[in-house]
Amino acid sequence: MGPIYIPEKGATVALNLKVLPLYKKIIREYEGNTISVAGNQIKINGEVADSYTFKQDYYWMMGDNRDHSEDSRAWGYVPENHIVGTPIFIWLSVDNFNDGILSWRPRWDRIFTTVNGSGEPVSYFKYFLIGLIAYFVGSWLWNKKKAKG
Amino acid sequence: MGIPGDSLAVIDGYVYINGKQLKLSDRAKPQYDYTLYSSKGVSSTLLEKVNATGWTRKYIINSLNQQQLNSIQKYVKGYKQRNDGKLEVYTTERGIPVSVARKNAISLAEETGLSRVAPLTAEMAEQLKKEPSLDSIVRMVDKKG
Repeated sequence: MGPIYIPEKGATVALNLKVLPLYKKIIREYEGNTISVAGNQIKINGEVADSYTFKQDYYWMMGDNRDHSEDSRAWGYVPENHIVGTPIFIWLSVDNFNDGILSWRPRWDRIFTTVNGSGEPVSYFKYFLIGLIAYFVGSWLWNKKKAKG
Repeated sequence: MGIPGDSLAVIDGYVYINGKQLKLSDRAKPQYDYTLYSSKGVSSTLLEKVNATGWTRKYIINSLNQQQLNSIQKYVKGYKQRNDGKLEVYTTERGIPVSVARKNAISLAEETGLSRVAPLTAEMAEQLKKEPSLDSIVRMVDKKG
């Protein structure tokens, strides 16, 4: 597949019928213009156009299960303003996710790990549990002390 | 992956940014479909052993009454009536639990097949290459276009 261009804000591309399928969703849906084609002529908002300048950045997103992902290969470029955030932390990861909660098998090596970084992921789950226990023991001691006083 | 302004290509399933093959983070474990071949039949145990998911099990069932059918329905993804009258039933890699089959007195046999397709990480594929019962493992690449 490709090579294709990943549109950048402010960049201008030449428009012809060959590349139009690649950019028409951007021009029409994401940047709110109308397109009409008559013969070899492309009109944007009623005016003849042989180029187009992008108003925002776009990204190409692909799933890591390469042969079973519905991603940019299915729905095209992702506009910057559709991006909600970036993953940084895995708080839950289970096998058999779609088979009901009773079938879930926690992937302990992934739970409480960070997404970025290199090498084997490190789980911070045990430190979290230790901290949680320390908090409960601490608040119990504190309340006991307060009750005495 | 690519950022705005880059050129992107996918060649034989691998991503190229500005003409250079993209090197993923060592934490990334991309999966690709592989075909596994064995003249003895590719057993599900091998795929279970490497914790692969997303592959299909095929069962051969002689006959089913309505109650038996109901009992396995939630595991079944598809089925086919064979010419010899037997039923070919497809499930996810989770399969039909032995306890369910036993409770409803269903006699079923899992058929392994001489070749099977499964999505695997590179690590899983390496592990499977060491299996003596397998003849070969081939990453599937669609023709261009």
